[in-house]
Amino acid sequence: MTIYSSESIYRQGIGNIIRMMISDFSKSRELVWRLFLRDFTSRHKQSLLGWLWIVLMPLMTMGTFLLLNMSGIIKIGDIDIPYPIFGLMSFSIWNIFSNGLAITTNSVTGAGGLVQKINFSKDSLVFASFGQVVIDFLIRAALTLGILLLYGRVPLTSFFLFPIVLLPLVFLTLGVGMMTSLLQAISKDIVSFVNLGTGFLLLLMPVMYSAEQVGVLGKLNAVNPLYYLVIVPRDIMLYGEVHHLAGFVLSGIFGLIIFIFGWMFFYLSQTKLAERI
Amino acid sequence: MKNVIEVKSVSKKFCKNIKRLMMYGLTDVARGIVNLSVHAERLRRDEFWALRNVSFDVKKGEAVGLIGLNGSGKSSLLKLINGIFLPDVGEIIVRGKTGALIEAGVGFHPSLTGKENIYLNGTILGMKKKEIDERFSDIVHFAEIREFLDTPVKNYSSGMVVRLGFSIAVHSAPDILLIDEILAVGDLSFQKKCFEKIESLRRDHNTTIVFVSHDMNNIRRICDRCVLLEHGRVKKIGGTDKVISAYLA
Repeated sequence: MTIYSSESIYRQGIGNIIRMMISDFSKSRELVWRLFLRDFTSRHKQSLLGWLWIVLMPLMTMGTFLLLNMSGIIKIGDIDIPYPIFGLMSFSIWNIFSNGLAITTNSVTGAGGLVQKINFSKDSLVFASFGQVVIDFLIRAALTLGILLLYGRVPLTSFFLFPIVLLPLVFLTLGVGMMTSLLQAISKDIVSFVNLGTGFLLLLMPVMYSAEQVGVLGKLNAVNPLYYLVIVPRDIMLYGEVHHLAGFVLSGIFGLIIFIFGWMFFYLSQTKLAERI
Repeated sequence: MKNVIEVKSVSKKFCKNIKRLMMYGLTDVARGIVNLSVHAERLRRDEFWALRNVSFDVKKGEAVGLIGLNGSGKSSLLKLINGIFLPDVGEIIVRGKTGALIEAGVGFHPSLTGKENIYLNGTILGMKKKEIDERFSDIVHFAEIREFLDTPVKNYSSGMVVRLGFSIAVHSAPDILLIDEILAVGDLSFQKKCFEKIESLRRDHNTTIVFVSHDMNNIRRICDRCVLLEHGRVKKIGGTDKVISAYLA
């Protein structure tokens, strides 16, 4: 028996709501997979360059930073490994957040009629859309491995820890993405803010460069959870070194809290979505 | 007989102004999360009642028609029964798996083939892969698209899209089937086939039907009872002929 009323879900209490979220997610695993396949199959169907974009994007970003470095606008700094390896790995990790956020933000409004005309678990759209980001990362990580070997370097064992060390970043991205996808359904400005914000953050944070962080920028990054969730996994995978462990752990906890809160915010509000799109 | 749908004093409001709609959306979501009242009974500026104090029941195996002029609230009510919208006031109790045909082809991806869309749409409608595998041939046979299974749906005619959409929905084995006018798109022979299928669902599976249409002949053919809506309120409930007479009067 299902009861539809404006307040029924809010009366459940947080514990029950979290149980319902997990149970609904478990029931919609097949749907998430099917929606992922839909996006995967159709993604590059009408694109001239198709899958090449996955490689072109980091190459273009790396080229821009190299150009800015040569012009003296940005200092890439001292890097112990060849820049193509550093740049590609950094971009791949950063892209989990930046592209992940852009894709998840658009996932619900992009479904349009589906949301308005069929009753299904809308968070499936967000989870499924994130699958494309995972595919992009895996392709780029494989490419980084190839380049490592091309330079005659043996990848460290820690390189293969990426499913664990990147999990907090995935949580943070999904949590924020859940909230922004909902807000995007209410106001179409949100995705523009997201793109503007992630572009700005890429310049502020030492993702594509390694110059030492001093002054205001250093202070800002010291309290920025995203800084730890991007930089620490990169250092673990490329150097096998862990700096800022405390910052990483705290940021990981922060990412998890944002994920739970974002998902709950989405879950409780998803029925309002159909009316707003 | 047991009620499978109970609509209890349901009201639903919408907003005419897009900017206010966004603002109300944000405030409603925020207030709901912190468990504050969203003043559901009160209309804010530019809001209007799409449905007001609507109550009726539908019994297992019954076919009920929702009729009324455009804007009377029929489609909104169907979406409320399907759980796509939530009532602002009142509640709706639904017992059983619900299938909805609110728009033909919704959920189809234009670039994917007919076969890919059968799996996609079937899953969206709550079917497991195994169920789709088992019913795949029946779905294709009923939709009459076997030759076009590997063709992208964007190259289908509107009739083919309706046939495929209808076929997937009826083969998802719903206990309650909600249909909103979509059969008008198909040609006469397919409409006939759809009505025969609806009748067989009722006869063989005791499926409950809620049917929205402007075609009174179709309503007469399918429905045992009707609900006449006017400006979002129930004007008359009763036997099909009586309610249709009141509507046409």
